Amino acid sequence: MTATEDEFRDIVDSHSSMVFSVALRLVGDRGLAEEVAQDVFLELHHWLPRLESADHVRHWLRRVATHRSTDALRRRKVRPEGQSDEWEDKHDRPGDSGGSDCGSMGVAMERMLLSLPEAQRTVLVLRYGEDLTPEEIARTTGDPVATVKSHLQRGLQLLRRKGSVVLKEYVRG
Amino acid sequence: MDKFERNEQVEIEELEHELRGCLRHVPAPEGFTDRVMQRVATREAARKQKNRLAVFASAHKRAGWWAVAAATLVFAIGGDMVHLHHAREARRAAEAQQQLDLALQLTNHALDQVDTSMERTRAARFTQIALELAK
Repeated sequence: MTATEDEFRDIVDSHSSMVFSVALRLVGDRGLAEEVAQDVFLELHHWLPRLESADHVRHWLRRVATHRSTDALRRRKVRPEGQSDEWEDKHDRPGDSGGSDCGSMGVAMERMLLSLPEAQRTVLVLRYGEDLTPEEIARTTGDPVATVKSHLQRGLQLLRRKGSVVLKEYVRG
Repeated sequence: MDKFERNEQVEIEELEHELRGCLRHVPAPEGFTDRVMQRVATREAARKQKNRLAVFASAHKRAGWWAVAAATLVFAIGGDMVHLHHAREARRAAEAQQQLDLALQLTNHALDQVDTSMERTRAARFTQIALELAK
């Protein structure tokens, strides 16, 4: 697949939201997420001639965004859960809940999500943010389907437990 | 399915619903596409520059190889010529040595003859003197 400059610009325009969202949900920092997303599109520019269709491009972008976000976290040794205070400061302001339409419970949900282990967070983001099936997630992350399902189940259970604690604090507060 | 399991199922479904809502795509920051395109352009320019340098370096390298080959040829031919010159000089020296040896042999022979002749003359002279004294 080849593209002129204008066509490549259209590709960036149409997929920037998806790539940025995946990166943001995984790294939990807008600046780092933008950096990752830019790197992903730069890489796409290089690989585009080898991609065969628009679907291939979308799948490639999702896969590379996931891997590059994980790489960025490991490289910078940024643990999103370690940034929870900063995260709270940045996201508790009205209308700035990571850009989504979540309310205060939603903000708490995003924070809980960022506190999950990396593998579980990745699977949940791809399942509920990108609406992928476990098989598609397995193709994206390169893990076996059984591992993906396990991460999904454990991630949901962990979120539910964390949720009940947060809900109690919310009701008490 | 008992009441506890039903409650758990409902909680999970609510959680999934909440997650779907919170994980909706967010728009990329303002000017994101422009920044990407700028980085693409910068990288392309750098790549082209690198390619030009690579072509130049390759031509330079080829010229260098030609120079090395030419120098090798010159040295080989020069070496051969020096070798031939030395061989010729050695041959001439050997010939000269042979001529000198021959000349020395001839001189030696002539001197021997002179010496023999003088010896003979001296003996004849002694005989003559002896005869005169005997008389």
